[in-house]
Amino acid sequence: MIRKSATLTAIIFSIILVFGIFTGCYLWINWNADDSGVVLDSKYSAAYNETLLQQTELNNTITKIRDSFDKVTEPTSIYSVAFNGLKGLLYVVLLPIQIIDVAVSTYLNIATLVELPAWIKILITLSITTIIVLVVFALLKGEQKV
Amino acid sequence: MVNGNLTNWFSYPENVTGVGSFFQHISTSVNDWFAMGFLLIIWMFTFTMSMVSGSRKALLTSSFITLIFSIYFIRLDMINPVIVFALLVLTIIGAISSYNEPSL
Repeated sequence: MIRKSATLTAIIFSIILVFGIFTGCYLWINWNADDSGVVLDSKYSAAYNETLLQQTELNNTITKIRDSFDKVTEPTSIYSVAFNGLKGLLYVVLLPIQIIDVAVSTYLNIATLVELPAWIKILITLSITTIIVLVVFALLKGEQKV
Repeated sequence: MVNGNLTNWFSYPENVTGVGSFFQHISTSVNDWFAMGFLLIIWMFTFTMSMVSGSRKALLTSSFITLIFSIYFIRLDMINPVIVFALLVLTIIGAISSYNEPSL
């Protein structure tokens, strides 16, 4: 059962937690590996670079939304008021849709480090996508806790 | 604590390939604080994120997650067993103190 806690906030917190733990642990291991004269496998550094890329993507999305809100013009008629509202809503909906990409990419990126069967990867990708799509529906329905 | 004789489970030190032998190699080469630092990073991140997200079970969550990692590290002989027991005590304290609290 998807509880109320499966909200956008929880998803973003999960992404930040994965970013934080992975980055912190990778840098700690890398630092100690350098000290002990071991060269890390290239797949770890590749995953780290990919994680950094995903962080940039998330940051870009948030910047885009901020910029698009700046472009909302002053309404000259009642239609413009409605149009501004729709535009604002659509830009907000854009965030969770782009977060699907970031969440799935981050998950697949970390999952490459562990030997998981392909069908489990597909199942987890599906569940992440489904949960976020349901959150988008909740957003469109105008539920307060999103 | 770290004796480097656990060659039955992992290939340390001749061939550093798997994650376990890799950890053991670094741990013996650097010092005991390698695994401890690892556990501290995990505990601090999970505790902070639980607190920030408004969970009333931050101590339970963070200690339990760290306990799982510490069991892996004790199998690799990288930390003192006292740490595992301390985390177990922390988990029990967290469970008792937040018995009726909402998780999120």
